[in-house]
Amino acid sequence: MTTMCRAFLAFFCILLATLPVAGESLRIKAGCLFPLTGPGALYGRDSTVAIKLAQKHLESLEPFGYPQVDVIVEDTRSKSLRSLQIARRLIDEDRVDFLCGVVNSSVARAVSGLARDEEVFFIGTDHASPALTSEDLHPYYFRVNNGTRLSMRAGAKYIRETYGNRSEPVKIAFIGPDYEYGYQAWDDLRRFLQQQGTEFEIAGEYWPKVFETDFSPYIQSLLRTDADIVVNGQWGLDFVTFVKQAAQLGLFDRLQFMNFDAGGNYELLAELENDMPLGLVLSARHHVNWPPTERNRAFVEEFREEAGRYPSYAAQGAYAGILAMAEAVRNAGGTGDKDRIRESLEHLTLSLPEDPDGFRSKMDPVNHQILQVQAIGKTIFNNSFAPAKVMLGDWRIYYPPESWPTFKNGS
Amino acid sequence: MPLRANRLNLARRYLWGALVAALIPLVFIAALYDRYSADLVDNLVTNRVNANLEAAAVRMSNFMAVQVNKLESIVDLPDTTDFFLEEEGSAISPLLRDFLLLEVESPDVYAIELSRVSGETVATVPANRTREDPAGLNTLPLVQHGAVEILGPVLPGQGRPGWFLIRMPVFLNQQKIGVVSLRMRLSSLTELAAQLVEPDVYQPQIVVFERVRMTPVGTEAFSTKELARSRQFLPGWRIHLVEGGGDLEEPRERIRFVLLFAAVVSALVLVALFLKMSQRLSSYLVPLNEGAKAIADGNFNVPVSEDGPGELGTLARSYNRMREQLETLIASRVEVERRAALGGMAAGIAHEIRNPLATVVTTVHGLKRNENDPERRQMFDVISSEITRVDKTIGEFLNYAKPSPPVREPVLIRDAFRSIRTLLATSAHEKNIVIDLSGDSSLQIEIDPAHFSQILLNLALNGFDAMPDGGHLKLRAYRDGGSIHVTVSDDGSGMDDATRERVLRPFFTTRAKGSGLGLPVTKQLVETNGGEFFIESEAGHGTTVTLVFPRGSGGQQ
Repeated sequence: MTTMCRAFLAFFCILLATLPVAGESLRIKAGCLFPLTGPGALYGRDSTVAIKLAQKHLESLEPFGYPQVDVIVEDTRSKSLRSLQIARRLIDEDRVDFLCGVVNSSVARAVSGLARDEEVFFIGTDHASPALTSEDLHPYYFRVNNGTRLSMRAGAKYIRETYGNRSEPVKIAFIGPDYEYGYQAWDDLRRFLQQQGTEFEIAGEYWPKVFETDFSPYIQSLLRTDADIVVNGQWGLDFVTFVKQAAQLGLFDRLQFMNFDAGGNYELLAELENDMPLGLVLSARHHVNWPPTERNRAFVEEFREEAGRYPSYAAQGAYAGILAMAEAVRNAGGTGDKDRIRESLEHLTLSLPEDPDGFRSKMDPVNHQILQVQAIGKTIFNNSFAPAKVMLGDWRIYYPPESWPTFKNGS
Repeated sequence: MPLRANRLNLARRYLWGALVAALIPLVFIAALYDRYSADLVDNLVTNRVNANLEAAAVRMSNFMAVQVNKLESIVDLPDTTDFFLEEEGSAISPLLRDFLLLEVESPDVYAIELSRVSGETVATVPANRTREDPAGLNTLPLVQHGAVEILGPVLPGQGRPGWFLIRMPVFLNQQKIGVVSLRMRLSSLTELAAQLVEPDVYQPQIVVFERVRMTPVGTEAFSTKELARSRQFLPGWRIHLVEGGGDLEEPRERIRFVLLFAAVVSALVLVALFLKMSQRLSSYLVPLNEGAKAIADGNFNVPVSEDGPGELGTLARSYNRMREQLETLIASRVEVERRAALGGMAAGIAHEIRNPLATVVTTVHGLKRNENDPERRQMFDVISSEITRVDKTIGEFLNYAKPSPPVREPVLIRDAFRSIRTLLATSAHEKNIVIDLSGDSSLQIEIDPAHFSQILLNLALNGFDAMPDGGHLKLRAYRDGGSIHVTVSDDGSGMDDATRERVLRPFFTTRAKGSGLGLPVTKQLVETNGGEFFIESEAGHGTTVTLVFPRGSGGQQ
């Protein structure tokens, strides 16, 4: 009887230890860095709205032991040095458990370096350069939005499916922003094309700077090439400006235009309205009209009710970031043991609005890059998501590989 | 002759002159335009683009000056000097690192490199942008520009953009202890020439020592026909303006051809237009010319067409009026002179013939009175009657040459008509002629009654003579507007045109015993009384003489 009593007491104690004590919910402190003013500010503002939605979602999960996340959002203005200084203050003064966010890959690389040095987790939600999950990778960095590499993998497959049966090699020109994100996107596309055995020729490489206002010399140069496809690596306002100027100069009449990572972002469709040409091949990390699941529709609608507009893909990244922190801390049992949190993050799976039925976003344990489905579409008329007049449709869906792809040189 | 006149007329000469005057500028302008379009590109480059080319070079100079200034700020920092004095492997101070990070936030700068004097790069900011040296680094152009060296450019390739280095040494006590380099975005420099692009016409190339050529977007360019070049904005660095790749020759040749064709067509149209105008003008001027010649030859019967345009029509109308007036003037002048001659002759006849005749008649009368032989008395009677006839003829002639002035008074036409019928009734009956009076019985005219009676009698007798086998003689009076018309017509033998033209000339007669003065005297009497005399006749159908008297002067009922 005594033995039984002891055993029962021991079991009860273990149960108490593993369950959060009622009324004493676990709280996580996160400092998120987004541009809230200047170029790219919309991404920051959408992320902030999505963070609120995620927090609301976590409140509903509190009875199931999910921790709540307190978030400090700071404006980076897309500047590296400013971001670094803000991140230092968040670590030193606010004592945050997690850094999160960052839209620009260059800024992200700087913040990631600081996170490594300070041993603070950095959950990337919106930047996409593969450098962060390869050459810059460290134990405290995780990314919960699809990176450029998976976009380019999907893009390479799309090109192969479309042009693979031709007798002569497909001629590809690339134009992307002049920084790591652009370089990596182009590197990856070429590598995947080679890996697939797609015969292609490079008809030109062009690197206009970020936030350029006049792309006409580049568009003129593209028009002088004999390319079949122009793959564009731009995002945000650059993409809008480029599309408007290229349409004026007749680029879309001459070449098939493709952008696999950010060109299909809802924000751009809304900005361009009727200026968005039809027949462009575009994708984004999240679409308001794909997957056609109840979960995605609910997320998009909830966001619209909160913000008065439809979400850009940045919202989905930030939403995933907050859920990822909560899930990891819940699995790790608190914020104290960083090794357990890392382990939990490395084996993280999440069910997100952007996941099609039967699929869960899954973290690659080696490269700390979440693996998600990529949907590539063509621009068609669709008035359902005003103010956009043109949306993506005619989808082709590309599931991620089992693990994040790496190349021979270790990148 | 008309052909010759046609060929040389003044209008044609003027028109040909005008044509030549129009064609010379046309040819001149066409030649000038052709020359201009032939040299279009060269002219454009020379006149318009050189200034832009120099402006782009100045922009590039300024861009480099700003970068050099930036580099100087880094080199002059004490932390920079300290960094090079530290042991190898030491880290950059946080202050210097933040300063360098701030500098590389410019999209024009990829990275800042800190190197030993030996060339070894010991630090790169940002750290993840360490340089991947291209093959052939040692063969890159290297120029000294003031205190800095410029290495490059390295053209884009292998998925990375092009760049060049601006290097500046760090000195301490006049000893070189290290080098700071800005790794610059190549396109930031080349884009400064983008404004010079004129698609398909010309485009700029940034040329370094004639061996590296770049487009405005920093990619490799190929040598092509150079149109202009700027000054050096760095030693060995220039902007060249080259042909734009578009085939300008073909459209240019086409434009030239079209322009020349248009000029030739214009000239031909001009010639055709002038020919047409010349023909048209001649068709109006030549008849005028011929008409004028006819008048000079005394022929007033050559009218000209009056349907010419504008002044030509007016000229033709004026010409015709002049011709008619001249004809009338000359005719009346001849008449005046003829009358003067007749008047003189009449005075002579009256004196030299009538007076002796009166003596002869008196003498014959005396001789007859004393003559008992009946046969001789009869002979005297014959002499007397012939002398009376001669005297009567002379009387008519005198009437014609020096008519007595009319004494006008209102005369009721009806009464005058009736007197004539009564006077001629017997004779008419003998000749089986019916005299018919008609018209407005109340009409009266202002006229000398004796003259009027003589006029009607002369005309009626003429009508009798024209109807030897009988017929109808009609006298009619009626009002027409402001005039009163009196007509005397017969349905006798009438006259042919030749006779009718001469019938009013004195001494013209178709009768053996006619004096040839009846109708001229009658016409003269009508005109003396302010009337007009018209005669119409057709051979075989009869003659109508119409007298027109004005109502006002001729009286009223």
